[in-house]
Amino acid sequence: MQPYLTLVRRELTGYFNSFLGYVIIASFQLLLGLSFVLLLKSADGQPLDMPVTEKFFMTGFFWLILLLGAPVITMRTFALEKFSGTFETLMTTPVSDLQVVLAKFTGSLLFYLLAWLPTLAYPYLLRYNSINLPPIDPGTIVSTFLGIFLFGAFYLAMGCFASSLTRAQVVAAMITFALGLGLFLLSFLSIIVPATPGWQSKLYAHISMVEHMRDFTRGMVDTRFVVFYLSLTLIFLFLTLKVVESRRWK
Amino acid sequence: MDADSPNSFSPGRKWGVGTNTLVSVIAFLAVMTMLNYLASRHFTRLPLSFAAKEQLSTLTVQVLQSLPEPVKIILYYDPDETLYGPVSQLLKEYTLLNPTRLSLDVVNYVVEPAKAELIKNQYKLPPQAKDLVIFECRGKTKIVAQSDLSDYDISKVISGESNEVKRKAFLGERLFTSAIRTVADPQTLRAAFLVGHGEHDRTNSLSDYGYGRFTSLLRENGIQISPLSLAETNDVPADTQLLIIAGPTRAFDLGEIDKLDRFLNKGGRLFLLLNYQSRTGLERLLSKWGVDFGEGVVVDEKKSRSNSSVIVGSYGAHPVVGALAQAQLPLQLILPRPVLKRAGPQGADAPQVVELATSSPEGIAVNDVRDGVPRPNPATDPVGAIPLMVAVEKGSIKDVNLDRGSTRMVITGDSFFLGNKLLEAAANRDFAWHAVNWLLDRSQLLGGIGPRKITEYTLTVTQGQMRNLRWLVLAGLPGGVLLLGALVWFRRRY
Repeated sequence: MQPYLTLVRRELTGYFNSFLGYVIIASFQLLLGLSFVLLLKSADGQPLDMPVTEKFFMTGFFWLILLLGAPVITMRTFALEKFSGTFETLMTTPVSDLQVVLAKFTGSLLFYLLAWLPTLAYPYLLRYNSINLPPIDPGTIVSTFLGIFLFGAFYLAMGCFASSLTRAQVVAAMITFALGLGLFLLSFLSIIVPATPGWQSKLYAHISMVEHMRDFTRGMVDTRFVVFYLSLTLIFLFLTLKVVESRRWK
Repeated sequence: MDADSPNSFSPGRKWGVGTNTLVSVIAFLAVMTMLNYLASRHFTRLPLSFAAKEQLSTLTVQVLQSLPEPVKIILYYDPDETLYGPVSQLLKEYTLLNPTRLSLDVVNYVVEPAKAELIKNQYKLPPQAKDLVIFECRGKTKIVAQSDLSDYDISKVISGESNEVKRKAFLGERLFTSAIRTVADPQTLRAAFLVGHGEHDRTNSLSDYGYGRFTSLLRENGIQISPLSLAETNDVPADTQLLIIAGPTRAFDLGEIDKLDRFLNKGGRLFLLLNYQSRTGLERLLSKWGVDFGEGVVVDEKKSRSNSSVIVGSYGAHPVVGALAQAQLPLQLILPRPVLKRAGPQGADAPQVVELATSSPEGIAVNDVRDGVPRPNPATDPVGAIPLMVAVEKGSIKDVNLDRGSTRMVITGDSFFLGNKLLEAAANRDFAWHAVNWLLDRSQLLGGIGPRKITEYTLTVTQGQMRNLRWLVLAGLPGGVLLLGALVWFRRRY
């Protein structure tokens, strides 16, 4: 366990010792802030069918952050180590491949969550800067952050996998972005393709990330979606592990 | 190393490990797929927020879970319409609750003209039809239009403050549940409103004491409404499952009372709402059924919002008020008359009379009422928990053929509380729903509280506040993070 924790600390330190980590968090906040201000402008005085918290995640900014943020956060995990030649050094230390993969994933996930953390201040900022703010439901915030965590874990696991495939950070980022965008666009199949009684419609609904996020932001936690994202995360971590292990026999 | 063992870098070893990895990846993917398959078949939806918990009322859950036949729902809608989101979300919740009996088909008439035309022909919709939700079960159809799904606030338009009609509530659950109930119910229920004695106007939805909204409630629940004049008919028609007498003010003649008596003796169902102005001559008939009317009106100063209103939260043990008692929801009545269970010995075949609601122990039955204003006299007026409404039920009557099963009545000492003004106050609407369903023997609908309105969320930010927020979220938070980064960088460098 100790080597794993040491590696996680090393990963996190890597983010916060470079200026890039702060730029990523600041960009997150800028995009979220922009989304927030635009939402307030459109909703000001207008009756909404849903709480502000739900409306906030209905805008495209959340997906933009996820699609762009995950590649930027994870591109360095393996690719940078391989490029700078520290990967082989790392793998000769008495740590298992699994520990390395999990530590890199955990480090990027913690960084991702830290980047979202300032968003928790939004309800309080709004409370002191609005006239008739409807009460904000803590349950909604919990489920929304559960959604953010699950989506993030999946995209970051995918990013770790992409990073393990190459020595070039840019290529890793592009692979992650392409995979992420592809899976995101699959969400719209349930909207584009007319519903039929067969299994296809159920499958489209099951992989519709937009619909899943809508549920999380409404305060509804569906165990199907939790299993879906956790299993996708595990699949990509497993694939990453296999790629890391492949250096032994390739 | 054994001389016979292959070299660890040999192509054979590589292929062996590669195949092993491939198999393990396929096996892992298969396990994850199976896990997802199982998760999709055995899932739970955990509501964490209050809004999600209130998503579907107990009543809706009961209706959906007890569907006898499959119901097809067609969402014939333009996704760009404002209400598409809440409507589709709500219908999704419905289908998730009973996926075997409910199916949802979404037709976007803007991008699917061929399919839209098919739907129009199938359901005989007019050419300009749009934004509808169609419910179908065994050929029985009910259509809910977008215009019905909102409740509007027109108070500002009436007062001249604004020309804007604001949508104040979304009525989706109420209408969808009743539509499903209607199409899935093999019976057609009929209720008659008695007319000719100064009753509340069942068609008037605008005046405070009209019964238009109450009529809408009945229609929403698949009950056909018709007027009935006892003067023009020999008997109450046999297909009348429920007779409603809402606040009569003029006396009934003997012939009419006889007709009512015959109706009740044949297992009729009566919802009788009297008020402090009612002097109908029905007292003698009701005394036969074990019900007495007290004199005057009941006031309850500790439980009042005004001189005339009485808040009632003390309920008897009866299905009509069981859900209200459980949820501790009060009723708001206007100057109710005492309605009592008749004192004296009761035979085995006597009607079962249950007091549904009583005033608080501080209630006063005021005898002196002038111009609608009660004038209590502590010396003479009775004080205590005074019954304000009763339910009556009687099984078989000797030598009488009961056309409709057992006789049932709900008798209340106030009729104004189900008028347009007060129907939505306190739990009055829920009481009306439960009383009607008990009278119609729809026991499966008595367990929960009826669908409620969904409130809209309005947020108002002044210009100054918006400026503050803009600075904080666009400059403060990102700038703060960058500043921290610069400090770290500076410290590490120097």
